This record gives sequence, C-alpha cells and structure tokens, in this order.
Amino acid sequence: MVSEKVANIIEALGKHNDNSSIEVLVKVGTNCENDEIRELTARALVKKNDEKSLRYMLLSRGKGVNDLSSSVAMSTINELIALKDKTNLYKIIDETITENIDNDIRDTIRSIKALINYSN
Amino acid sequence: MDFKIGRSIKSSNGIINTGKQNNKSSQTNPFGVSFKGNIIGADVFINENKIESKITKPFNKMKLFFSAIINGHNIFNEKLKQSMNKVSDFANKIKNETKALFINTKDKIKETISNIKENLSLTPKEGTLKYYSKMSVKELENEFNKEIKNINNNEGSKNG
Repeated sequence: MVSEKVANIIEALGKHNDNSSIEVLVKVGTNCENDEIRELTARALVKKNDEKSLRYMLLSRGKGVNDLSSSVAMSTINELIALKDKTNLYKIIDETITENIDNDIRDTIRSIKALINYSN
Repeated sequence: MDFKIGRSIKSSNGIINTGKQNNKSSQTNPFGVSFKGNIIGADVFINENKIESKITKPFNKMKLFFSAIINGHNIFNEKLKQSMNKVSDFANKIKNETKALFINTKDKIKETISNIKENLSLTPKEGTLKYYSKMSVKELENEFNKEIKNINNNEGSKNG
C-alpha cells in the first residue's frame, strides 16, 4: 500500500501549473517498479488532459494503456473514458489509427476508441 | 305488580289510592284481595307506563348511563392505549432523528473546524496535499524520489 505522502506528491505534480511536472511524472512515476505508483501516475497524467501527457499514456510502450500490468492499463483506460473534454484524446486516437506504424499500439488505440464509443 | 287501594291512603305522589266501596269492578277482579278491610279492585291498578315514567325511567336511564360509561371505559382505555403508543412512537422517532442530526452536525462542525484550522495555518501539515501544492516541480521531484527510495528500502528489508 502506497503512503498518503506519495499519493499527495503525485496529485500535486498532476495539478501543477508548470508543465515540466509531466516530465517528472513520466520519468519518476511511470518507470517505478511499484504497480500502484505507476497506476497513480498514469491517472494523474490522464487527468491533466494535456496533449503531451495523453500521448505518453497512449503511445509509449510499457506506459499507460500499454503497461504490462493489466491493473495499470485498465485504470488508465477508465480514466480516459471518464474525461469530460475528449478533444485532445480523439485527436491523438484519430492520428494514431491513420498514421502510426506500430501495429500493436494501433490495435490497442482502436480498442480504446471502440470502448469510448461504447461507453458514450 | 303495582296496585293502588281505593280511598283512605293517599300518598304524596298519588300513586296509591284507597277506597272502601265495593264496586262492580272489584267483584270481578280475579286477583281481588283485602287490604286492611278494603277490597282491592281491578280498577285500582295503575297504568304501568305512568309508574315507569316517574320511578323506573330515571333509574333505567341511570343504568343505561352507567353501562355506557363502563362499556365506554374499555373503548376509551383501548383508544387511549393506541394513542399513547402512537405518541411514544412519534416521540421515539423524533428522539432518534434528533440524535442522528446532532451527531451529524457535531461531525460536520469538527470537520469544518479542522478545515478552517488547516486553511488558516501558514505552514500546512507535512505530507498533506496543500503542503506539496506549495512546492516547485523540482522540490516535488526530490520528494518523489525520496519517497520511492524509502518504499524500495522497506520492500528490500522485508524481502531479506
């Protein structure tokens, strides 16, 4: 169980106005061995709803929706579905489906798109 | 059976009348008997309705009245019991709701006071979100790395 301190640090980074917080979350949080920290980091990055943070969560291998831990991947998808403003998300999804060369990532993004459409 | 005697005895209410003369009716009275030398005649019988109206009617009325009271007493008891139950149920309900409301209010007040305390304090409590919100990204990065190291050390010591 992750301490409240860590959860608060991740939340503070997620809410920080300085966009360099995204880099810190990606560098420290998404590369952490602990599944729970990776999950909290992924959720904070998605909640930020920034194009840069969403790209990390959708397109990076082993991060966000592509994480090897299913709990991390699923909670990231849940957070994506829960986003109120999906403009950035749809933009990245459409771009990825048409342009991305990596078949695995393209398939994952296609599945996420189907899930989002189904949940609406 | 009520009766009256012809002439001499006359009560104040006029119920009993006496008479010494033997008239035809007294001789034909099948129940004719003598009373102090007087023959009680058939015509001496007084209309029962008249007696009932003067003596028994009020008594009957009283009987009816008391019977009504006794019967009514049981109904009243039951009604009273029912209404008392309703009243006690209502009182219990009010008591419970007031108690719950009081507890809720107490908790809310406590929460509000602690929130106010936290908001008013210049240096927020260490480890809270407010404490970290005031930090720069660099400071947060350091804190984050420190906490992850602690977690890794704890897990390492647990494993062996």
